[in-house]
Amino acid sequence: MAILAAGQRRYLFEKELIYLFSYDVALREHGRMEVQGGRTVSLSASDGVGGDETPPQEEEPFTPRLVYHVMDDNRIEDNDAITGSITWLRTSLYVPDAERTGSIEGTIGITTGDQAVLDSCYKGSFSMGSLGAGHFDSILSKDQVTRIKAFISPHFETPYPKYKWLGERQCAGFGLIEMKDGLVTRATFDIYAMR
Amino acid sequence: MNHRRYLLDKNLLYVFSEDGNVEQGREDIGLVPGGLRINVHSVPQDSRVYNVAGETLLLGEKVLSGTIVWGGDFAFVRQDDIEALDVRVVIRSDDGALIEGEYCGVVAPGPRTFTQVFSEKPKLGSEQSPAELSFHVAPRFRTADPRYKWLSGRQCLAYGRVKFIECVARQATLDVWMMD
Repeated sequence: MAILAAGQRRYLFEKELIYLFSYDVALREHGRMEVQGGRTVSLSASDGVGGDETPPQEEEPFTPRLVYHVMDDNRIEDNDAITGSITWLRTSLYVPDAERTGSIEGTIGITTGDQAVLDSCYKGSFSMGSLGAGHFDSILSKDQVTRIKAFISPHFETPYPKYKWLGERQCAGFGLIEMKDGLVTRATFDIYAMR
Repeated sequence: MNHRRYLLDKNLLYVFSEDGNVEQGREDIGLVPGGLRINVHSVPQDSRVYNVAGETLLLGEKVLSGTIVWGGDFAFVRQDDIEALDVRVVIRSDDGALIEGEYCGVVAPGPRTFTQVFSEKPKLGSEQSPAELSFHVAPRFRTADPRYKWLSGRQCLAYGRVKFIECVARQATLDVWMMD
């Protein structure tokens, strides 16, 4: 197995994403702050009950804080599927004024159905498309709902031996963040493990 | 349970590949709470980013190829046999743009790796037969250069291999994919 000079490889490595679980979360904004080149939006998980926090319940089933497998499978390869609820989630979005890509940084805690706690800090990005930072302004017609694609790269930590395998994997999350009248109201993500 | 029954769209777009010769230098910070800290650095003239198929355009944008003018991994070999990677690189493209990258990720070499680094023989890999391990990282890049704005800030994933000789990383190679 020789050490090759740089730039000699002419094939791609196999890449695989193993679906692990999904989660839905209702979000509450804690504040916005103008910063150089844009603004930050601070968010945390809410129970989505009562008042303005109730997310729109129209076309899709959505249970705030639920961690689930979309097909309700019980196993992921040699391990039990991960289901449970989100114990905490705090996220900060950086929304640039003049770019279409913003950044995410946050932390999430999950309590599984068997009472294990999984914790992750993550970073990521989101794509705002042609509307750009306008997603976060209430300039659209009333009750207008918009969505942006979001991508995160969590790595989960846990002291629970049953879930040690999860700590050995770099994960990736593909999600949607939903806004209503320019305010972030909820998000849903699919989490995969890289292999 | 009342939940979604389908998966959201997920796409990965190939961005570039990268080879890093990490024999430039090494600092053994040593044992710290929870594990062992090691820094390794790449050899600039022997570390490149390139497109494996030699393509020059990606979705109408210029493909990134060039040299890694500075690169380092601030690795943490944990006592639970997981190695946490914290890589920083600065890429100079062939047309002169500077792009910085930040990659966090994990490599899980298997049981007893932590003790193997210290004491056990034989060490992982040899000159005649380097040990090759897979690793996965999640890079993000930043640049002010308008030619590579399409890459700036986007979350990427990278699938790589690293070769160890005597428990020391010698060469890393990876493919970078953009999440879309």
